[in-house]
Amino acid sequence: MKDDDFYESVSEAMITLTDISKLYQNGAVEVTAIKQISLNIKKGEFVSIMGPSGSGKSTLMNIIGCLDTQDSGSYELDGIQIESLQEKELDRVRNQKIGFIFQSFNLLPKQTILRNVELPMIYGLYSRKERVERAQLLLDKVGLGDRIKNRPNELSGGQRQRVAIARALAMNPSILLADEPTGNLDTASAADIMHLFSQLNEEGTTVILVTHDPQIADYGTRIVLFGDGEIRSDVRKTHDRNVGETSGLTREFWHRT
Amino acid sequence: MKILIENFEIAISSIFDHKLRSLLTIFGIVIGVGAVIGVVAIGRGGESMLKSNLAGQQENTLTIIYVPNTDDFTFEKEAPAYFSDKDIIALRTIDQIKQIYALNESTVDVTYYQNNSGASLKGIDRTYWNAVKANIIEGRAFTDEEWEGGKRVVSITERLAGKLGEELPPIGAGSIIYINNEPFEITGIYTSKSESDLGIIIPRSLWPVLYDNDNIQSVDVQTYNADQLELVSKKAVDVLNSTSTLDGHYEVLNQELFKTILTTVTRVMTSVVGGISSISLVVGGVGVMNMMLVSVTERTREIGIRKALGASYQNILIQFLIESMILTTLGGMAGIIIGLVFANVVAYFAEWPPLIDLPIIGIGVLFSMVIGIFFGLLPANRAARKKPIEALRYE
Ligand SMILES: Nc1ncnc2c1ncn2[C@@H]1O[C@H](COP(=O)(O)OP(=O)(O)O)[C@@H](O)[C@H]1O
Ligand SMILES: [Mg+2]
Repeated sequence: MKDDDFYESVSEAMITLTDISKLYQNGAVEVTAIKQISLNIKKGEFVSIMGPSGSGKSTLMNIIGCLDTQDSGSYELDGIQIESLQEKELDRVRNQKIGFIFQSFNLLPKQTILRNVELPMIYGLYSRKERVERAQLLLDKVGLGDRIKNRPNELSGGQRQRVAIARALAMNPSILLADEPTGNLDTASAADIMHLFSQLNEEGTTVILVTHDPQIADYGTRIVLFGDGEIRSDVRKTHDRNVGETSGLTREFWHRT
Repeated sequence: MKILIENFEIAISSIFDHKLRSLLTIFGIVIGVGAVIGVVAIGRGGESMLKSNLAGQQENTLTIIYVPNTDDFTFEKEAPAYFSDKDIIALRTIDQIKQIYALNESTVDVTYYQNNSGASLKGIDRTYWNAVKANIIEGRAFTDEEWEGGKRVVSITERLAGKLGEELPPIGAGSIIYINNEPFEITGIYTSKSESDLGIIIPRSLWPVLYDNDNIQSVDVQTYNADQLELVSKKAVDVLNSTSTLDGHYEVLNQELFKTILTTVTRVMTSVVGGISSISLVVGGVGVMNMMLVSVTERTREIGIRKALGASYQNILIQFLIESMILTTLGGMAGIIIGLVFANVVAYFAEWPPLIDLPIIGIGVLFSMVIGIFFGLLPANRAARKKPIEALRYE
């Protein structure tokens, strides 16, 4: 196919998921949160994952982000076979390879935003000087360079999410994972944040983003639809030609659910 | 190493972010360490005071006492004397004896012009005087002739001089005072270890001037070394008992033994009371553990965030251990200050030296650190073990 050829030519594998499953024990009931999911994501992609609540999107994101582990299946990230890693090595992968952005920001409330952005670099053993310089640089990049002494509660939701993005970028990760990053934001701030993601993607960062909102999903170059722990559809946009098509598809999805 | 310094910063900011809670957490440690330090300092002060107050502060000294028969007991005002110069001469025949200190004591009335005071009078020999090394601040020591009883001379304490000389004419070397209505000339004024001492020293040869007898009340003998104490006490008792015409008999009070017993007793008491107080340290440690457990639970989300950003088991463990250690060390230092203040107050009122040395303080600080680490282990391990995703989900 023409699309596949295009992607094959520009990028290599970043994420290879093969038959990934995850079960939860809810009392006596066993819930299969994701069922034998296989998914390949290449360097430089911007993947939007959509699907109804409870369809397993967060479960998958947590596995990709090494915050959780699958019950079966294999996961390769940037050439590393994740399920064979020791706990210590997993800590390092989380630190060096992954930038995770949460719906609820997850900043440390008592620390300044500069300190918050420094945090991954503390565990990454950067020197203080390097750390502060880089944190300042990243906060400049997300437009908060003059607020470094503020604490998270002195910022708006959109600003907090930008701090979280700066923090996620601190260790120069292979992928950015964002689980409903605009879920707590108003439309204007959401658009702001999405522009930032687009910009980062254009600069080469691989982005995987979970959202309910078709308009948000549209920022992605590939849209994966989830339902009941399985992938229902997986569509790549090629430049602007397919934008309408993809939007149509997501709209259709939303009408169905 | 870098991460250690970071953890100190994290711990300190977390402690100061929760000032009241931190204060309450370390309260038990403050009290515990304060009590232990206070008790130990007081115990050691008391021990040294008791020791220095023991008669015959010289090393390797035996006190010889006379134990009367029950019939001999009298209720006379003056203590009966049971040694004579003859006995002293007999004791001198024992080779191992280095010095003999003869001492008579009584309570007297002293008058200087219109001023009047009670005082404790000691009649001593020159050997005794030399051994005591009294510090003369005005006038001079007795001359050889005066020690032999050639003149009615006395030395008095600064304190007594102050009391007698409150009004004019000023008192000093050369002044005449009356002891039990007998005139004596002051040759020197000396300072006494005990500030409250209203003391007078006369050559023992002047004793008959006041008491019509030249008996000796008490005799201390000093040997060349501690090994000779046992032999000398046997010999001395034998010599005295064999020449005695009295009904009672002579015995030896072993000052060294007495000191040892005293030291043992005060040490045992100190360790018992200190041991009881250290239970409060354990209680304080458990308090810290409890607070740290609460804090770990409250900060589950923070732990989740840190882990999501790449913190390892060790990172989180050390963070919480350091926090707990800083808490207890701060508590320990506050406790040390409180304990020392307490010991000093007690020492001030009891008029003994508070014995506070650096080792006690060092051990106190070190011990509180260890308590922090020990009682921080369980909470810190609980924090560090948390799975990132579960910690992040915690509300
Ligand atoms: N910690 C958990 N314990 C039990 N069940 C869970 C847990 N997390 C998720 N699930 C279940 O797994 C399924 C997928 O959840 P999730 O991945 O959060 O979905 P989504 O993010 O798409 O809303 C749901 O049925 C949910 O109830
Ligand atoms: Mg979700």
